[in-house]
Amino acid sequence: MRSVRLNFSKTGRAIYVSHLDLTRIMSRAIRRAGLSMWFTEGFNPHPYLTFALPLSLGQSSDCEYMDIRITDDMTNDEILRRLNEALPDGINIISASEPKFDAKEIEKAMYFVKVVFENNEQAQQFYNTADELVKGDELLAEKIGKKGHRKVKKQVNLIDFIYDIKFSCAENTVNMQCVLAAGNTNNLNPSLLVETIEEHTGTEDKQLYIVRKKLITKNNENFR
Amino acid sequence: MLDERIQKILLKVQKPGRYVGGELNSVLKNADDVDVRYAFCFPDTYEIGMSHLGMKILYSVVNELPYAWCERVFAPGNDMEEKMRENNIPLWALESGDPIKSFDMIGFTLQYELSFSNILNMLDLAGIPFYSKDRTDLAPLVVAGGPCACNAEPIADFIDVFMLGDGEETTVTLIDLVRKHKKLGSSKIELLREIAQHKGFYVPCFYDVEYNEDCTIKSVTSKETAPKKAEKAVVADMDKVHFPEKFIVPSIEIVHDRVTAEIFRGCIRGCRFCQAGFIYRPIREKSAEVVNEQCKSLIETSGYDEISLCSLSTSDYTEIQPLLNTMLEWTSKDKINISLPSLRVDNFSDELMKKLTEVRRSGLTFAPEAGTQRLRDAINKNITEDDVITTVDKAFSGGWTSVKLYFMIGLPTETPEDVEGIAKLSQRVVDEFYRNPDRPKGKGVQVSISASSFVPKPFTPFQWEPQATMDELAEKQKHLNESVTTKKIRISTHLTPTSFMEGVLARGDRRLSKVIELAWKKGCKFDSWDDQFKFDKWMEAFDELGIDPTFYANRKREYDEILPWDHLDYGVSKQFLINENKKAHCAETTPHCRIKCAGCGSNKLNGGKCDALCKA
Repeated sequence: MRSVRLNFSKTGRAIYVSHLDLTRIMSRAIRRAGLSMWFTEGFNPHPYLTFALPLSLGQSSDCEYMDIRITDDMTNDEILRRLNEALPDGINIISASEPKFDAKEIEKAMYFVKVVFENNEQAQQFYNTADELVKGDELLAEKIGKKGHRKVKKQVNLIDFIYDIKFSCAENTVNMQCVLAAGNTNNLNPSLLVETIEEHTGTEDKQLYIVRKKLITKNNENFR
Repeated sequence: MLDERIQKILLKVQKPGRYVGGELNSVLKNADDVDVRYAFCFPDTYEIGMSHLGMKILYSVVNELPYAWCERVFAPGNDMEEKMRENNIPLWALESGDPIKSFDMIGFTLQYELSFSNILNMLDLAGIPFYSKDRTDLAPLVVAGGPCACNAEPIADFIDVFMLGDGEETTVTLIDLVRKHKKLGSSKIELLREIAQHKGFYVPCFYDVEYNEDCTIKSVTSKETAPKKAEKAVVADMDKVHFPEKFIVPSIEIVHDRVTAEIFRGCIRGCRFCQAGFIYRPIREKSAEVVNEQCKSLIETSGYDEISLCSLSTSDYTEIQPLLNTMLEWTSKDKINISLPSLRVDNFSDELMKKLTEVRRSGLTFAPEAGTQRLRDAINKNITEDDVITTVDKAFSGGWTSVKLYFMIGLPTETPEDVEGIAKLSQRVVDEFYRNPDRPKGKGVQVSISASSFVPKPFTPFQWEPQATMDELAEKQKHLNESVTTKKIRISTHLTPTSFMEGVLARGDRRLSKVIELAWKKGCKFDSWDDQFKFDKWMEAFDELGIDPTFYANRKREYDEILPWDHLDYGVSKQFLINENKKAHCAETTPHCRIKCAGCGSNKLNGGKCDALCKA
């Protein structure tokens, strides 16, 4: 038995697939691909698979990672080829390789965000305020956290979760490139950041595009 | 190929995966390369519609034709509907993203009566006039089929053509006729005239209905090319009829997220309340070999890990043991689960049970239907209390600690003792658990009772019976709840207004079209969803139009009354149904079709052939 890490993208129609549905899609694709998988040995045996970091519904990504365990000596290239044949539109395996880092080592993620507004003025307004806000010391937002199994609301300072952020503005669109805290301990969803900025600017976007570009470890290496 | 306008609203609605298409094995064609574009509409949500086997079969049947393209359409959720109306986005088909208004044919599947209001809502969202007479062009032709087509009179004014019976062959006939007349540049009436001449079609505008003063039907007269009685279509050979090699595999979770394979059509049992048991006759089995091959192919192309072998009574399949043996050779190796819905308590063997637990243990459900032997005899269920006890005993020995039992309340001839009988029988099941020395140790037992309300349906021996009123049903539910004294028995029941509306529509006539339209105008849709059902709006609609709904639900009909569906021929003879009705009132049973042919007459539509006789 060996572990294989699959790097895949989630784009187009597949961005409307939730994380839970994605796990089902993957286990069916693995069956169709005819990989000899290692099955969990519980009451309800299923092929073992685990994801590095779930992606929110509606976001696309080039840096999704899933680990599987296979029980024969099929090559990584063959696994990649077979899985791509079996996957639906919008999910594409980019590479298959031996896992390098533990998912626990993920600390941040890089995103490209495009915020489209009704008109140029709104975009400009967002752009001006956003730049100021993220340079400040405090940008408060309400986050739903977990205390044991209970869900609790808590106030967080988003500045603590921003590692790097750049804005640019063109016509009715603001582009934002950012590195935000990501992983199990600290995590900032770019949509919450945009939403919070909009509360301050009083603007409302028409369309929000978020692409996850990279997962980065504590030692500033690209997750792989 | 998602329209940009659709993309913009997708992230503002729940479960956007319902609306994007592009699932594995969905069929894309070039619209310019086909002659007929068909929008197959399921008048409920994506998750429900995509679970339906019939849609998968017919989707594949049409898409096999190089000159036709079948696409899927579902009822959008309320949040999506709101966004669509706000942004003037008409109802579109999932494959192409094109508005269905421009299609050649629009088909609705009629799985339950309470979906009728959704049909109007979908037509409205598509921008298509409701009434057949208001659609004067050749396209789109609005058609419908499925079990409720056996009495589709309440929506007869909206639909151009009904497909009666099995759809695999009639769908192709219909596509071919549409194609031919489109090429000829015919008028709609010319197309309808030709359709009406073929078996398996009912063109409602070719039948004039006259009423008596008491609102019963005086006469139904066929005109144009229509036959006096429209016959349902019957597929003769289940092994040869088209069955898909691939299923569309939804990207989001649906209700029945698994491979479904049909093992036979029809039923040998003749339970008197069961519409499916009569309208799908005669019995036609698929061979075990064919079922096995079809399942294999579907598992390979879908990647599912569960197969459901479906039919009206799975343990009655003559080849059930050989089939399971063959299938288990490959399914257990690949950890694929086989589930058998619709098992009977009188032929649930140890062997069958062992096979069911080979990979994963699934739930066990049995349907005694009634609480006392007298009532079970009246409905011709043909099982005894001992059958039930022996079976649950086997299940408890086999490791199960919970069973589900289906019952009905409001059955004809039912007395308070019969209702108490449900509680008594369930209590015996609980007691049996504790008496069983082989029961799973250290665990309690859970018996879930589902007590649904009986709704009399067309083409059954109970088609003349009055439905129990809402008050009576509520009283029976109360009585049942009070008769159960332990928490080990859990009872669930149906809302009585829902059952009442189902009863009204099930045996309704053409006068109900106006009511459905008005109810829809008042906001009725998704009537089968308890949280969306607006009973008061329905009653307002009846009231404003001066139509009494109890006339349809709660009235006893005489044998000689002309029923709204009498001009449709589903094979089973009216005389047979009358005899069965009379026997019900004497609590007299009819043996199942393999013991003795009951002479229902359904085989006449299948060249005299019925597998209950050949395969006995």
